[in-house]
Amino acid sequence: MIKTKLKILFCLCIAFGAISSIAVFYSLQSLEQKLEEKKHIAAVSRGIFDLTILADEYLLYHEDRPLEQWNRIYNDLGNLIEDSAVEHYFLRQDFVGFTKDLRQIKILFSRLIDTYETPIFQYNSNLSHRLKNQLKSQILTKNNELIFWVDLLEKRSEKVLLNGQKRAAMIILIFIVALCCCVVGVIFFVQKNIVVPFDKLNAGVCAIGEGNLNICMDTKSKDEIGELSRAFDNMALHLKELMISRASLQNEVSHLDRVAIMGTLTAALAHEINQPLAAILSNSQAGLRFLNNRKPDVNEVGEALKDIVSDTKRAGDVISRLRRMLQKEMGQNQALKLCDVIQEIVKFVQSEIILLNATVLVDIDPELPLVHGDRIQIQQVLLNLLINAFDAVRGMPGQLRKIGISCQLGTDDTVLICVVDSGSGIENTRLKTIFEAFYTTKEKGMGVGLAISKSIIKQHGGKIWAANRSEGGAQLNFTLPITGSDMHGDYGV
Amino acid sequence: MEKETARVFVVDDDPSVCRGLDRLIRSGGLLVETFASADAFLEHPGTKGPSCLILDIKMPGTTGLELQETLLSRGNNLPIIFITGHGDIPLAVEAIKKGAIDFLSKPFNDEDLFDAIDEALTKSIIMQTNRADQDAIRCRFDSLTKRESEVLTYVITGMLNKQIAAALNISEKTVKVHRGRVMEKMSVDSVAQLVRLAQKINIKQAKI
Repeated sequence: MIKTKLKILFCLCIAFGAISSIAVFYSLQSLEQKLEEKKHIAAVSRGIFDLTILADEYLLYHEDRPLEQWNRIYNDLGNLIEDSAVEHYFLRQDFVGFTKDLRQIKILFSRLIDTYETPIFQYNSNLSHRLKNQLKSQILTKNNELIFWVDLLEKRSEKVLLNGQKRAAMIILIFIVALCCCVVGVIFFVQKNIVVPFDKLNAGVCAIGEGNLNICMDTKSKDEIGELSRAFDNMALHLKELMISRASLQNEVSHLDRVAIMGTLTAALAHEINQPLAAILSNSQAGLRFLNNRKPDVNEVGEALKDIVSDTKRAGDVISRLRRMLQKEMGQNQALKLCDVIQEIVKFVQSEIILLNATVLVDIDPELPLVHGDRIQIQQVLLNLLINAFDAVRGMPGQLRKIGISCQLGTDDTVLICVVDSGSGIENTRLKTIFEAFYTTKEKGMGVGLAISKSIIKQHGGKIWAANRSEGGAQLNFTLPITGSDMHGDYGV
Repeated sequence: MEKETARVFVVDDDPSVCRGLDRLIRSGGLLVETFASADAFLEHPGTKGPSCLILDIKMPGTTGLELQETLLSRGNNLPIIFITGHGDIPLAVEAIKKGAIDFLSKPFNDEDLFDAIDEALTKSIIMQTNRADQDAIRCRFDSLTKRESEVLTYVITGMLNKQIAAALNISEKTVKVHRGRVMEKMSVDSVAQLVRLAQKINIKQAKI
């Protein structure tokens, strides 16, 4: 459709160009013609004027010279008048009139000359005098008439020329105005049909590039650009669906990772539950014994029951922590106190630490600001890093099993968390690849722990990276944005 | 009777378990003292009466097995009952080899615990009695003169006085006198008893 419109526009432009060129050409040509006419008339009138002056001269002085000149100029004039291709009807009539008058003057002149030359007139000087005077006055009158008519003619031709000029100027002006209108029209057309839709498309593509998939252009036009923008809307819709399914897949993998973590920590968790169970059994059996004494000690039984209650709650806490970790739904982003989050995790893996005979040092800056994020997911990251640290120190002799967790203010409105271990470190070539999916050096590992951690941290708007410590062992670092800063990630749908 | 002054020590890093054990053992009529770590226990001065130790294996810092090692190296034969929340077999074997009384998995029945405590305390009493005996015998032996102790080493071989005299190059009469004094100082009536006493304090026979 745009192509046809463009073709039409193009043809119109050419037509306009042709017509206006022709018009201008013709008007300029007619102007030139008028100019030529004026030149002719000027020449003719000059000639006639000369003739009249010469006639006067001759009449005054009766010399041969003016007469000769008169004849010469008369001949020239006759030729000039014949030569001029004067188009204008009235001008032609005038010229015919001039010719007639000039011929008459010539006749009169020849008659006058005769009076001078014929012997009859030489004798009868009165007759010749009268005739001469008659002829002279006739010539003068004719002369004056000529002068008058030439003057008139000049004035008229001047006017005609002026009109012609005005007309040409008008045509040119109209041409320029029309040209401007054409240009404006073309600009308008291009703007409306090409520039604006393209800008809209461009804005739409940029918006998708930035992650806003809710763009819908909703164009109604039937031309090619309209089709393009409808196809674009379709693409945005598909992308949105893809993002949704990708987010849900990611969620599932993240959940699987949490399940795997819990699997790794099974022994530790069992131990966590076993301790309060053992205490509950001891307290219960103690209570029964106290009751069976010769003097039942009710106080002791009461104390035993109190301990049973708190131990049961303790075991229940372990179960609920486990449940929370294993939940499938995405949590909520909230302002978190990292101090509490980290302490909770250390408690979670306390049994594993004891089992390993490792020492864990926690160093948290007490003035730390609140951090924005999902509690379960951040704990998932910490657990992944801790489990890796445990694996790293498992091969070390007893004294060297040291793990540290530190948390301090980072740069650019972030908080920096580091997990260090006294293991054998990570190969320098692998420092980046360990974060790739399905990378693992463990026999039973799934290899997604660090990859999931990386995507969780990225979603939170932070960074995660690994380094080797100079004193040996590995250091895993990640940053989280402070609540209220602009850095929240969330490539959300 | 002696069991009244008997004392049970408990070392476990988990406070709930400690409290539970404390209550249970007290409900059985025994005195109990709890410690949250092996190091805390080592700082405690020993006790005179019969005692035993209930020890958790996996603890932060010094582990249960390490504490056992330390006590043995100090010559402390305190009977130990190990408890654990894990049930590792290899650890159990190692512990028993090093002389532990028993190995219980949490959560354990009160009957099993008290049986083990009984066994341990009995062993403790026996050990203490043995030691007391040994001390007494030692005391008596130390009161012998050099010659008398020499004669003792020959007497317990079963040699006749005549043979002893020949070996030591003294008269038979002298031997008889010494022998009499030894028997008296050692408070025994027969050579057999003397031999038993000598065994108890590890006195070696003289070479024939």
